[in-house]
Amino acid sequence: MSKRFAPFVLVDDNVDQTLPPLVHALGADAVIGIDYPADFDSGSSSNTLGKIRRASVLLVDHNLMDTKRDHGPLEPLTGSGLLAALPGIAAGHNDSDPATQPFRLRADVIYSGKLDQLASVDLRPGVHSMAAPVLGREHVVARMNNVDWVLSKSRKDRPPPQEDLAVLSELAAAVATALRNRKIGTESPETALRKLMKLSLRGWGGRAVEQIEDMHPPLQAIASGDALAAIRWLLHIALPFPGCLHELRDVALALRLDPAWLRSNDKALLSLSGHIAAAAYSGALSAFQGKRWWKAGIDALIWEKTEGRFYDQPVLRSLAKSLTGDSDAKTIDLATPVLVVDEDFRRTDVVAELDKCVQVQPDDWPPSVEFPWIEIDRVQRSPRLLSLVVPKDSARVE
Amino acid sequence: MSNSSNSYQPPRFKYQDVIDELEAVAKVADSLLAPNNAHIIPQTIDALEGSRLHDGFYNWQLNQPITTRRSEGEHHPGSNGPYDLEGRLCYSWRIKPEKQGRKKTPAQSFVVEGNISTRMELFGKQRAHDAVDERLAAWRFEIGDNVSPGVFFHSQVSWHIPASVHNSDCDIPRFPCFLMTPGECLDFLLGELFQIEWPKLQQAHSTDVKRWSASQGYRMSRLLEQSRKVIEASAGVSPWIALKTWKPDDSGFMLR
Repeated sequence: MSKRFAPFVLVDDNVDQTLPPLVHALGADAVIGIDYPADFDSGSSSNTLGKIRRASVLLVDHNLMDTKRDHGPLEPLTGSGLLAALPGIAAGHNDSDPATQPFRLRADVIYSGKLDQLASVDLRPGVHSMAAPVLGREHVVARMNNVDWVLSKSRKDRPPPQEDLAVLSELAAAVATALRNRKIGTESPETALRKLMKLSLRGWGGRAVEQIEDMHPPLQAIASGDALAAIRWLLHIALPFPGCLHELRDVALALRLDPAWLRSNDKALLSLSGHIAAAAYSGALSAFQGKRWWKAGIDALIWEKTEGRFYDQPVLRSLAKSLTGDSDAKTIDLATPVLVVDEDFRRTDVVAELDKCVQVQPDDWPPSVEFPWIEIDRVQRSPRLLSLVVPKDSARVE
Repeated sequence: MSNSSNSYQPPRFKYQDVIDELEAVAKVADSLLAPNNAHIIPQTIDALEGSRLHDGFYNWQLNQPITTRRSEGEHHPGSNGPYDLEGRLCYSWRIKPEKQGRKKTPAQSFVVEGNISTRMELFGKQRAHDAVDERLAAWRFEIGDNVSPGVFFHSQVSWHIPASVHNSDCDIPRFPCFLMTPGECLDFLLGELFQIEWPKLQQAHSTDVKRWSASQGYRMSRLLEQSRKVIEASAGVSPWIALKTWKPDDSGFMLR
């Protein structure tokens, strides 16, 4: 890995303890540790900034406050504070030339054992908090904190080490891809983004472009040469939220298949994957937290296979059984099925009838994305959810 | 045979259903509507929203038609139809907001009474002929009232009136129909003019179609169920005449 990408750089006030698990996961050559604040002291700061400049992924601890020592009044005490201060620190050391390097050239990741602090979650009993925990909502918390991603150090929150590795490797690969594209800023931003997402304009590609535009990509930033703005949009909006790309559960729903059944049925999944391979997303971050497919590609396949009767439920169920190679495939027998979110607005594999659901509008849900659906009976039991119901549905939960 | 006019109850609609439908159709159909139409649907939705606080009857109408882009032979599935066509739709609905409780609480539903008509027209020409555009067809989807001769939910086509006729107010024939709201009528018009593109757009915008499809589906199902009941209960008269003379006696029969 160290040969393919620039290194992963970790900044931590307890680097001796935090570094070993990352080294174990990513390889000794791939990770560089920086001790905070010691390595930022004037004597070694140029060397430190040099390491950061080479990073493809910069991991920064969230809580940088050392209770055993005094901190200077302008010293950043949080990871996001340090990331915001880095350009200034670099400028103070004549280490940056804004004229030639106006944009960051790496992915920034908060790596913390206390991620819930980033989401303003107050977990004290009896406290009525509007916030939701971080796990499963990393994209939301990252967006709130103006970083590319957040990753938990905590054992209880952490996915297996190989998944940590996959997240960081995918990030590093995406950064490398974005930076290799020297045409960003010179060709049209739509074209640059389309190339980054490896989308051909043939066939259903035109429809996919429209669906990308519906998700409001940062075209101005891309046009001005900020390659990583596109990567951040992918991480925070296009990949985690429903829209131009389908997760497995969306593909299942489009075929009226039970998403949980499909996910747990390897043989059916393998068969289906073969049939929908032409719609698979293969652009930047294509393996980031699971496979995805172009919605336009899946729509086109269903249209073709059903001869335009994509809305006909018996026809769809028959197609689903054919594509999964399983005549007993578990299908959905609802008139207007929707995928619902859980009480912390994480997407789930649960399907419910639209008439039994309402939409809620969490503060951190992108306005360009369909607001999430949630069951009416669950909303009626939760004052927190009741307060978030979209105005058009408010009469349905009274 | 049918309920008498004494038991007649005008149909009720939920504001939110009618608004959701129009919003969704406008969004999904954006590329099929004429470019200068962007403001028309939001304005008419605002007008309907405003009527929620209105006392008494309100005329919800569209004077400037919603116009489609030109369909170039797309009225045939292979886009090889002989006509280039442009559709226009306007409507006039006399509604009464059902206000409950405090006077300043917006109504959630309305009843329809009197003139409930959505008019569609096709303008265009045969592609093979270098002619100017003419009005080629016109029809209306309408809802009757207590005294209308039926069928209650119906469509009408415009007559070709000879020059010798002075009074053009002939309102037959009335074909049975189960499309009612302006959103549904626009759905119909677009489906005729853009046989492939309109369903494809609905598939592409499936998230926007969900709400609209649920409310439209419910209304259509209830109306068809009701029609089946009337047909099955007909005695001493043909099922058609039973259906023709039927009027709603439960104003909420189409409310979800």
